[in-house]
Amino acid sequence: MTGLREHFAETAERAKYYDLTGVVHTARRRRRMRRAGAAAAAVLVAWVAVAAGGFHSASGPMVTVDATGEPTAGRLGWLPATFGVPDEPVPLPGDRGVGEGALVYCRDTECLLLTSDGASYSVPGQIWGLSPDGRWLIYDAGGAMMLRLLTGDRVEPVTAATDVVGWSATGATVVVRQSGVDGRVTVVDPDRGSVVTVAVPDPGWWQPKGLAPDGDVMLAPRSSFTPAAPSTTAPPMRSTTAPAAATTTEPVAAPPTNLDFGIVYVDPATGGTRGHPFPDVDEVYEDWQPWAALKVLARPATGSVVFQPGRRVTTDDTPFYTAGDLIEISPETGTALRRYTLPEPSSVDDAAGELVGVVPEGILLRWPSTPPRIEVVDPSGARHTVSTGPAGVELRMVRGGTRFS
Amino acid sequence: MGGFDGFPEFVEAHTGVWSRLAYVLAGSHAGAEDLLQIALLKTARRWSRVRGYEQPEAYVRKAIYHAAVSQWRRGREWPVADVPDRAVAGDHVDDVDRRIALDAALARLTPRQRAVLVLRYYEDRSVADAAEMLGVSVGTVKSQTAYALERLRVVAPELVGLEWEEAGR
Repeated sequence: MTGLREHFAETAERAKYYDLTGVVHTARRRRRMRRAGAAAAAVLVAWVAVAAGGFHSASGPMVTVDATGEPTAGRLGWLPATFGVPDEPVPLPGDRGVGEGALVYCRDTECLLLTSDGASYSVPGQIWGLSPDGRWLIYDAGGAMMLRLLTGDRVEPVTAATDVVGWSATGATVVVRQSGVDGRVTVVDPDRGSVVTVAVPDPGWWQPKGLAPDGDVMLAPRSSFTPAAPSTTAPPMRSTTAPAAATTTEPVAAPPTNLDFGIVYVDPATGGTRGHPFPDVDEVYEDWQPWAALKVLARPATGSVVFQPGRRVTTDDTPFYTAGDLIEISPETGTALRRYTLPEPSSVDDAAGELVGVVPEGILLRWPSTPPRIEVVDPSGARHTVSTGPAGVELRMVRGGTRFS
Repeated sequence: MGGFDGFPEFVEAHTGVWSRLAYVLAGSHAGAEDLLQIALLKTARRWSRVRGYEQPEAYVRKAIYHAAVSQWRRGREWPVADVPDRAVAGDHVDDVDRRIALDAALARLTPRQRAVLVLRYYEDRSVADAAEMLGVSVGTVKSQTAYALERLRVVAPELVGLEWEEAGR
């Protein structure tokens, strides 16, 4: 092998012949739904008519919360309202604590940790995650994943892990996975020193997203719409058989063969699973667009699940795809609770708010605009700017964030 | 005539070549599958118009690239690339090591940087063609190509012996 051309050619030969029949079926179904006309239109009209109220969809009441207003100034106690980039950042010291972290930002190829007291530290390797309590940072050190206590000098290696999936709703328990190993994840609690391996049932259909407040591992569909099934017949959602005896023997929930979104919970202690009938996202969001790497977060207090589909926007006859509204669903029933409508970008260069975290005060959005900022959307839909960074930097993650957030 | 007449056959006829492109772009089977699904769902929605195009498969190809780059627009990345863990027949050890290192290095590029390299070095497109495909300026393609190659050198210095064909078209 001598160059990129040869490498790409060899890579192409490793491709599979992906089964795309699911796409054809999904497209047909969506077309039928659009052509159903009256029913769908009634739902659309209902959304417009009840901008501040609720309506009853097939899956239950949902409140549409208008979050399109201009943001006002706000504060989160742990997040500096503003910060600057030091000319010569200090490396994260290895022999002492630096205090709780607040967010991670990047400038060019360099990423820095911002602590709650406003100090910035350069981190030598890729930053993989910052715990919800701000105490632990996960970063790459020479190809090894390391957990670093920011309030002390402890450093713990995370073995057999190449990717951070998500965090607990609070505290510092983290879910990691290993590339190429879809059938299991590892739940690491650095404060207790516990490491638990959890089987992911039907990994061709489901992928881990993080932890619910009760510690269960949350799974979401591998694709955010009907996936190309690993087999021609959709397998039932079974209770897992590892790492311990399953507590459930009955199928809990079928994969979303005709739905767009769903959550299944796996108990790390028993391997048992539970799930709910899923809301058909088409019913609560008429023009939602799938996201290949959908972020799914559980709110700390309620456990309700927040996710953000994409949206299709057309300007000057040119369609483009960007972050859409926020959807919140009930962990008890799986029904849609709220849809937070966010401002629609006016052009392809206009920024859209992107879901990056959940806190007791509300939902955290990142705006990659100039200057970049972090906002909280409170339950009323009011948006508050809680941190503003200097122009030219990317706000990569806040507390509870991962590399892909 | 139904709105999807010919669509399943169209997909069947081109899945192979699209699969290879998507895998090179995404670097993982899950990512490639997602790319294809997103692109084809978009195509299906406009099939009544797309099927009248002179080259409808080109529309899908463009949609695959846009799906990949949209990951960059959203500040996200595809899952970590699938990396072969054992040699295949005919491999030399050095080749396997180098391939794994290059896969890992490519996985650390942004999807847009990777898309630019795929257009230039896998599809052998000119700068102008690549710019048209991605909907960006020629200058952006040039700068992203240079930046991506430089980043590969930074993240994978062990590949210093690798030939980087600096296409200048």
